[in-house]
Amino acid sequence: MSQPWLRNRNHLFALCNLRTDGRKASEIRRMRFQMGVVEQVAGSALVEMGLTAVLATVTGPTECLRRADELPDRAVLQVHFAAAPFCTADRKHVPTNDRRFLEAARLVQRALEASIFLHLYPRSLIQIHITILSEDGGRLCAAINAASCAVVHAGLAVKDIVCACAAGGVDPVLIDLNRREEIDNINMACAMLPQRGTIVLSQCEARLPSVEALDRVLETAMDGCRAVFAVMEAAIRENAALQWSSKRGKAIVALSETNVV
Amino acid sequence: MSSNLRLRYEIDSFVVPGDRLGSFFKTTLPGPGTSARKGHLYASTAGRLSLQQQEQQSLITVTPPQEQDFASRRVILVGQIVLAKVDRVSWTQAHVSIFATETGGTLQYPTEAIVRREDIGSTVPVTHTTNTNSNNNNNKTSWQVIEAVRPGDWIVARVLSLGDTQRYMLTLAEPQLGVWYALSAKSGTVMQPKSWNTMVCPETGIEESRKCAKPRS
Repeated sequence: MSQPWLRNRNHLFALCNLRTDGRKASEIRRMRFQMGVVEQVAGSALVEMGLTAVLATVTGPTECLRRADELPDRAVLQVHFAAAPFCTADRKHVPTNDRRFLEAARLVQRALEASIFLHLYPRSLIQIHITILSEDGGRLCAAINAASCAVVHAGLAVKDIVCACAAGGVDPVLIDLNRREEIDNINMACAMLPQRGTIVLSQCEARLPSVEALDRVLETAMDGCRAVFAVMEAAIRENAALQWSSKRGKAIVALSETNVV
Repeated sequence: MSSNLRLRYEIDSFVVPGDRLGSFFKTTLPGPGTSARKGHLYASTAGRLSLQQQEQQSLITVTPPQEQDFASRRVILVGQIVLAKVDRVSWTQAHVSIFATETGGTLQYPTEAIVRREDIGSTVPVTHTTNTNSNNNNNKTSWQVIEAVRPGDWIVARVLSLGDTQRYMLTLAEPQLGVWYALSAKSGTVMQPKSWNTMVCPETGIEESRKCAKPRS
């Protein structure tokens, strides 16, 4: 912060009501969805939200590892969370039983259990493996979006596509915080079924000044989820059309801009 | 008939999960890939919307483009023929691990199962012959487990039931079920079936008692 050009740039952004990465308060980061990146599993998705990249793979429905873990009327959903050692600026190895990862896996599991028709696959096991390849804030939302895309790519029956987005700050309320904004502002992650308008997950670990602020932040997060859904729906629809074309041997692979915001 | 349908998407267009396809009446049924909620049809998978005309009703289906043939997507069903390996043998039952199912696909994890002594052979004679010796030889109704299977053998069996909370129950009481691959205890060579209850080692000529599977033509 001692460089004068950096101070001037921040001042210039603040004067134009822009954030440090040049976005307005209601803009989400550039998102990119790639489905089918891992050929050995039924469903896989690589999601990039800004500089946060998350890879999710779906295995199943398959037999449970132990018969005692089976449920007679529905499938068992297991989510495993991991991070690559190179995902942050300082390289470090995070074990998979880290408490933050266990909590994140549990949250992703609850968000997806609200969407998948688990009763259609009795006595089976559905496993989702999530790996963070690059982290720049909003990793829980990126993980939920990646897992949701992978589940849809695997062909599992779902009620709606789960979309997640974070909102933070109070005045003004920001959408889709990056890493620097997460440190300075209130952060609330929100996941919802956008076509039904149902919130399936909401998490906030900050001190909110009032109830009206909570309503405002939650509404802004839901607007962010709808914006994420617009990008995700276009990517899924294009991927389905591409798979149908390649199934008939008429695939023309072209880099399109519809799934890039 | 088509005037009763009010689909919000054209036929053969791509839908994503959660899309509301339209209302459904008595003449419209939700098919595979769709779900019904409060009188509305929703797509539950991503794919292509199609319409199948039946006698007096229409079936709305969503066909996913995914080829669902992964090794990690196979679940054991009752009545299926499975390939299993014998792990342990006791006096009353044999403990096996199921590795593959009838459709030719391998499971992602081996699954435990048991073959009870009563399920090795048929308890009802299949022929009615007056020759007592022939009847005893051709219709074995009582087996010792060690006479039928041994540890390390690969067997072809049929799933009898879900069993208890830990193991499936298999049966070998059919001509095409039984030991499919076995090694000789003396020389370790792959044995060949000589009859329905005997296997012979081609190297040493030693015969061992097995419940052999009928060779597939």
